[in-house]
Amino acid sequence: MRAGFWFLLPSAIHFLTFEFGMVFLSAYMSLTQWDLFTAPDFIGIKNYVELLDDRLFWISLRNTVYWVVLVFPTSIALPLALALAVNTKIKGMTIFRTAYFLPVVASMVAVAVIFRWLYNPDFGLLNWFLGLVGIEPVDWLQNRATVMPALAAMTVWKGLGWNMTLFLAGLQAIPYHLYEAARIDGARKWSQFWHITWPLLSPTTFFVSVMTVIGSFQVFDAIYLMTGGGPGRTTTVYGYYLWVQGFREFHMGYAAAMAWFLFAVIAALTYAQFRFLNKRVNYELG
Amino acid sequence: MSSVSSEAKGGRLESTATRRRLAGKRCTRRALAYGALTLLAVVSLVPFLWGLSTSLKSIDEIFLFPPKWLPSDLRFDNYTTLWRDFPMNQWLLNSIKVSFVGVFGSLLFCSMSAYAFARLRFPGRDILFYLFLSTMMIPGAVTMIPSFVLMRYLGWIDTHYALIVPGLASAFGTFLLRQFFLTIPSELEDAARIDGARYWQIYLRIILPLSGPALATLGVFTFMGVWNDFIWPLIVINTPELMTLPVGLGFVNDVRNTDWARLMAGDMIMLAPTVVLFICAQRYFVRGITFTGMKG
Repeated sequence: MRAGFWFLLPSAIHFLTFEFGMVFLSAYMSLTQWDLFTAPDFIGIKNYVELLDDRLFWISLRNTVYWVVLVFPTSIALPLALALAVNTKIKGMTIFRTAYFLPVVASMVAVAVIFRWLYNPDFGLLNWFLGLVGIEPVDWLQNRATVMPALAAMTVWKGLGWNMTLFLAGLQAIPYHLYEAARIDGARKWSQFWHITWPLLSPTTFFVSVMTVIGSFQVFDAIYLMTGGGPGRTTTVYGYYLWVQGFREFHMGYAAAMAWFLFAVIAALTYAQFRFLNKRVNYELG
Repeated sequence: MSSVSSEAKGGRLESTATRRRLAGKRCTRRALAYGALTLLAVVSLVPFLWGLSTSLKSIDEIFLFPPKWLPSDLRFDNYTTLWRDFPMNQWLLNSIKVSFVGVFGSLLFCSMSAYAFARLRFPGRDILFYLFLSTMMIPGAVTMIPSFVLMRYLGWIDTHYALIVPGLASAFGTFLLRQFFLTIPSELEDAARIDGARYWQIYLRIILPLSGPALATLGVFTFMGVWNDFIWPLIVINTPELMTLPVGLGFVNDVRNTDWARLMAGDMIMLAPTVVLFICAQRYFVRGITFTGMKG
């Protein structure tokens, strides 16, 4: 009994301080007006009320929803399609994997610099490539219509290897004899997918779905490193605006309130996924 | 007709014609797979290769359109001027230091708590474990702001303590190792306990040595995470000499100069260790990812 206590102690202290403690401190901060240089000023829920009146709050929220719409389906469909295509005995998988994992393990700072250059309107590789097929050059990061999709594409590109690996693992866990039996019964490819693959893959799909929602709602790095919220307010997403409020304007209490609002949204969406999708997650066939 | 030939083939379920058709299908299947993998590999690598190519070019070659892939003369001075104008060695050293200490600390803390959750018995053990796990759902923004306040209060802003200490224990690490420890047969520990071994001896002499792969997996993950970490070091470190590589290079980036070649050179430096580490430790990485995906 006592052994358990001692082994757990370091992590427990760490968690109490940096996780639980922070949660409570953050909740308290959201009820104050605090700029870190003077004493905190307790103002109750005024921050939350002010949020609703804040034009930028709504703009950033809308931009974030747009971001999720761009990133979420692609982050699931594309890796899944790739995993399906690749799910065979392959020689030299290690080499391929090194290649498609490079974006995953690369630092976002490095990726951002490379993509900023790639998206360059005059000298960028992308416009050159498009020029080969006769498309006019586009200023990807300055054009308000293209900037979000451009950033989203970079983000999806960076995460492909990760999700694909998850899907591959899920696919490989599906017993082959099920497909054999289905084929003997005359099932076509699509039918096999719909009745065997999709249901038995649902735990993986569910996991990827939950993690992608949680992650995409918090996007910050890409925006900070590529566009700084611009042009104008086009790429000011929630995470970025939060950072601005907290670490540029030092409205710590306000930023903490924003963080809690985000927490509530993510928790609600995660709960919704658990409630409505988990029912359809099959762990066995039949 | 087909049933006759299937018996003749020793009970195989398909006729020759079917098997030939399936073999053909297998061929196309493999071709599709290789095609998809090649396309994916190309798409994944091209940006990096382009960055590498840019880093080795001279100024006039960069602003060429149509772009040139192979620089006609390799220039390494982008790298050398980077070192000359910015404290690259210091940044590298800082990153290495923070990463190594972080990995070591993480392995220590997480293995201890994972052992407690997997093997030791104490009241409320499972509830505590799920409590630990639930912290994974907390958005970074919620803990980041008060953590900054705490760092200020402790006087750790602009020190490496702020970079190392908050990352020492992680729910993910504890989770990963606990799942692994659960698979170690308990007969080994039972035997040791009968021989009078204390828990810490079991931990040191049995559990840890058997956990090489899992520890390596966690180590690789932690290293990648700490090495690439950007937001937090950006917030807590202000002095250039104390910065880690990503922040330092973000600093170079931020000077809003469009010295692309130099920026790319910096990128390549930052990427090199992760690439090398990944090539060596690939299977650990993959195992870690699939591990988390399986149990959901």
